[in-house]
Amino acid sequence: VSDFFEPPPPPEPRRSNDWEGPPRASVPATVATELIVGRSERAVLYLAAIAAYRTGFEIDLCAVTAPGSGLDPFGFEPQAASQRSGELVPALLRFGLAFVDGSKATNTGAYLSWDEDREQPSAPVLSGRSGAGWADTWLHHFWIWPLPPPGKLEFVCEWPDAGIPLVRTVLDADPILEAAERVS
Amino acid sequence: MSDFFAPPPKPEKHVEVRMARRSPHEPPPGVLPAVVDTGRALGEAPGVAVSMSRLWVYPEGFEVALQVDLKDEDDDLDPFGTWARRRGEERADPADDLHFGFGLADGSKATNLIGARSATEDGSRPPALTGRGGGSDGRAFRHSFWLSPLVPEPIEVAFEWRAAGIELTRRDLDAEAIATAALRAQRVFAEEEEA
Repeated sequence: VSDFFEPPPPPEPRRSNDWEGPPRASVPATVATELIVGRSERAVLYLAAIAAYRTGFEIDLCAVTAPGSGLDPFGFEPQAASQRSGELVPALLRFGLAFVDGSKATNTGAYLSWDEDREQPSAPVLSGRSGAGWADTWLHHFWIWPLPPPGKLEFVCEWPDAGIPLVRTVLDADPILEAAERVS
Repeated sequence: MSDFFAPPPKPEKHVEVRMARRSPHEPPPGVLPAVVDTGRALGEAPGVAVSMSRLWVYPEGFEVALQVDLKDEDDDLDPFGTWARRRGEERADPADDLHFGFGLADGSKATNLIGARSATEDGSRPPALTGRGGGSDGRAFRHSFWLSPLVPEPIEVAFEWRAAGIELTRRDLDAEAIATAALRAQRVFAEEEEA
């Protein structure tokens, strides 16, 4: 390294906030939901499982599209196009969870700042964690904060380009809360 | 390195087999997996926790994600070789690397040291564990692996990571739960016909 180009300083430890992701070193308890939550001739959306932590939960969302459909459920472009136009474009897969108290966490709406000094969000948060796609099949994982209140919990999705209208699938939050209680 | 994790074998003699349209090194396309809760820590050491929480099970095999959490960022702990690859570095001592795999009832193993295997002369493939990639924020690492083919036998998961101070752990998995889950997996779109 020359004198001109100096190496960067080591990063300062960053504080983690509960709404940003699962707590460190915590093994979740999984509720296998295995529910088809949206279906058309062009695509199937499937809620495979919910992994409960003490502070929130992760969903495993699988999407399968008809071979040759060209659909991309988790691509960046529909999100960017929606942001540019100020409207949800038909290519955008929209999904989220509706809590019994009327609050909701979705993959649409305002982006959340990850500033560590940010105040705790006033509404539930849904954020992407990781995922992979292969041959018209995707399995992605999303973090939802906080845990839902007891009672009814709805998974809601809509994907116009795939021919999937708004579908509300009713779940029970209680098994998720019971699973969260088992997490050490 | 422990006895469980043997080094990779020398390359086998090439066997001419017709390439299947579907890769055996990834889950089948068009299939919805069933899920088995495994919820367990695989290894712990001061400032390090390793776990696998669930399996996504298909008729042909299962996908599993290994979660590694570090209390602090540590350049010396590089569970999946991410930083070493980026810097173009050789691993200091492969025996200290993270080792992860599955032991089968017949004594065979599928580990991240051996990885993908070619077909034998009769066209069958021994169980193999294939890395599927992953990501990290510097302290939390999650990498996925694909075990295939699925074997209807007792199975144990094994883990060691000496660089992190974690010695070999071996734990049984519920083979019946995995076999039952494989029956619940659903194909929702037929595979494309060969051109």
